[in-house]
Amino acid sequence: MVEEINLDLEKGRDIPVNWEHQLKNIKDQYRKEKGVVHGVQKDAVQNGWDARANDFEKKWGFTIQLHTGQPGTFPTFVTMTDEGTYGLTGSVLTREEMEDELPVEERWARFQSSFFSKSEEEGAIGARGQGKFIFIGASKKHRIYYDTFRSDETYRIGIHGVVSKTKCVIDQWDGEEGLRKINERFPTLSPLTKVGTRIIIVDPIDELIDAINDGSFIEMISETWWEIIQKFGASIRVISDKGETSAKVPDFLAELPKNDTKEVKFWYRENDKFEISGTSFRIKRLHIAWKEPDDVPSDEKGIVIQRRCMNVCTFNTFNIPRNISDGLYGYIQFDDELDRLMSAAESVTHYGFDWRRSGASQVRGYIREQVSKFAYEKLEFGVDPEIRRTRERREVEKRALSIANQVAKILGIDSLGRGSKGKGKRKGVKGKKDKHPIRLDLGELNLPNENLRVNYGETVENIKVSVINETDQDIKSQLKMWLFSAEDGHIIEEFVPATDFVLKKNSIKGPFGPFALRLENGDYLPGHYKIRTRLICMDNYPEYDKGDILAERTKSFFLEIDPPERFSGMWEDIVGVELDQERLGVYSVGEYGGYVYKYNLKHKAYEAIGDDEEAIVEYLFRLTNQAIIEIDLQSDTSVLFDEEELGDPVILAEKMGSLKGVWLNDYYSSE
Amino acid sequence: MTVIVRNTSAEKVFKSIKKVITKKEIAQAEELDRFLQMKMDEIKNDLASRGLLDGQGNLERWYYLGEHLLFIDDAVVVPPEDRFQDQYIWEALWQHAPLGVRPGEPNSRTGTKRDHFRECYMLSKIPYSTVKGVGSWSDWVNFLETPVVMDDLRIVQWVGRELQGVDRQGLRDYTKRLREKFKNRVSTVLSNEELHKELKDIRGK
Repeated sequence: MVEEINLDLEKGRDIPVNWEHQLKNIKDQYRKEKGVVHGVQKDAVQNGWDARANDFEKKWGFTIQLHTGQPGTFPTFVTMTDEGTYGLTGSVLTREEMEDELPVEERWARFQSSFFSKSEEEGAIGARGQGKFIFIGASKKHRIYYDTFRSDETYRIGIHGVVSKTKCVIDQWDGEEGLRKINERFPTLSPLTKVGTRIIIVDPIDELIDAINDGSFIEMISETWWEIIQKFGASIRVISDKGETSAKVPDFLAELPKNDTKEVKFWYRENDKFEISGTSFRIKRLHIAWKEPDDVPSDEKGIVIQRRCMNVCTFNTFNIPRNISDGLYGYIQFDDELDRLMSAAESVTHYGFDWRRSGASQVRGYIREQVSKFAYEKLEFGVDPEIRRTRERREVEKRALSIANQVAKILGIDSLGRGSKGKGKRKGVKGKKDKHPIRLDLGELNLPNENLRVNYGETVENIKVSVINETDQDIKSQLKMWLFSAEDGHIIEEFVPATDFVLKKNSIKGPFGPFALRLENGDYLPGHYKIRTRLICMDNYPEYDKGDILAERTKSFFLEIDPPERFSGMWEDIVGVELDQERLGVYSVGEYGGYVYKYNLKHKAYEAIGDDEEAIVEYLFRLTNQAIIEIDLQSDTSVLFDEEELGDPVILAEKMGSLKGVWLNDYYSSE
Repeated sequence: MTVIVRNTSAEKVFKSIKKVITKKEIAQAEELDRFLQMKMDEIKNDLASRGLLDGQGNLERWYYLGEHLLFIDDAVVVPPEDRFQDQYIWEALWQHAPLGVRPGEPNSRTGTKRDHFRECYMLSKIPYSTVKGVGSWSDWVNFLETPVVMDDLRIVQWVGRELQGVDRQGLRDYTKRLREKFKNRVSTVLSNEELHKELKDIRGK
């Protein structure tokens, strides 16, 4: 046994941090998005906007100014000044005082610290306290000053800089001393006269200077902050060597159409709601438009995701062809609740979302669905979104099917119920019986081989069907049973032509048959064949209409060809169906003798996943794992559990949990 | 009915739902083969004269093509009992159709209930003014590929008669309701009167 080492951790040293490396990492994060300069404006305006005072409207403003230096006199610097804000209120706190949660009023302390997050309840956009490092990163000297004038008419200036590899320092001066410091350092700078904060980037990187001078900086601001300009008339100015410019709502967003023309189509939605775990969330607005892709500049393509009035990122992965999606542009906004939920999924740099997270996943699904509807309704992209959704779901189900069959194969239970005469079938293993009160019993076909293959000259026997009615109602019915080609649907044989009869209450009619089918060369082409039987309602009843398919069963075989692999696995299919809300899913023996897992599309757990395909595959994987255990336990000879485990419910439960843990681990290990 | 299709080696293959093909049926198949070739030449010329062979005006092109395929209603060409049972006729048409008359190469839909020629044929049962009013081939395909419609030509005929003037959205809405109404249900066991009442009820919703 290892003895615990008695350490006085209070006397331990701080771990040295390589601040230069840290700074590089942060800059690299921004470079991967839209670059350091874009990050500077985004975080700067965000800080100012988060600090807006209660009566900010008409007072709030933000100014970025380039001050070109004079060699030997003062350096070049960039100021970023907000007004109509609270300024950096609060005290200069000691390290010990900062151990406690910092209240919102301690803005100074928050700004001087690193990685102290703001709570979402404060309604702030920036929430992780990392943004200021991008200002330091935008300084060649890795140094920023900041001064603030507060409503109590106090003035303070601070400095924040990386002075060596392992040293990142802060300092501050109040009142007259502060004013003197700033005048010494930046002789052309006037003291702040309005309540607010000013950040000074010393010796800015060339790309920031260039962006301010060539106008691209104001464009970045316009694109990121257009919503506060549009909604609150916010004033954001950039003053360069060439003059002053103001941010404005970009034309492509300001002029989003609300009428269709020959060239432009629009799609507008308001207040669409959806639920996640019982809580209702609202899409405040989705406004998108479409033009010929060549008429939409590349930086305007896609749907801008707005959160708390800020452009976070552009979404442009839709389920429609590129030649259509490339002409889409517009934006989406959320209500406060959804804003908060999206915040948790937002990346630390505020340039994207983890679309797998709750909320983000649903938003992605919503956008894709609306875009599909738009394409279908107005852009002549002719597949009904519902049909498209079904097709996409089938693709996911096929992936889950393949994985579930791999697991079953590894466990050695991949050939349940195959073949005929018990060959290849594990004794006593059965699917959950069809318990519908009106049903067809197609029995087991007698196939000549262990798999579903039949060769010329061989015979399929025991083709018969019984009709079961366990209701208290006589029902006028019609029964048919026929053979058809699975490839082109051609009907080849009719074993039972359309036969009408009254299906007496609580009775079994039949069997019809048995028939035998001898497959001679020349009579049948090689391929996949199905025998189907169908019972149709032939009158109107309270529960059934004339024409309703009361029951249907199908069996398959393959003539002169081997069955494809998917027909030889344990799982024949995985399909979504609508079941009682509490049921996760059911399984039964399918037409190829394997199992069909039917999962519940209406279950809350499924609905909560949204359209995250990976998560759906994993969800289905978990469901089929549970089913594998159940099926194994129903068999006479379990391959998963030994006799001791089967004899003790506690041990059995532990083993079940353990198996599921192992399978899930393998699932993630193999990806 | 027996038809001739050609395999990859251009050899004639006689196809029929019947296991035994008589000499008479082989002769009829040869006759049909020649007729289809002649018919396809005629169709090509007509579409060319209308300026519909250059890839423009898909809806118009496929509608007029469908009108030419109404010869299939002739009981001599396709016995009535085979019309919706035997889909080999559609496969045979592909053998003779030049590019422009056919939309591309044969595919997995060829010879099935989703066969392109079959859809053209069904569409031509509807007045052109109604077809044109909807304006989009893909919307009509969406309607024609509704399972209950594929199995019951009476629905196409009713739509042609009773939904004249329907616009694009109207057809989409009707198709959607039709799908829902006949989900897990067959229409072929309904009498004409019963079916028409159902179709009318769907329209009235």
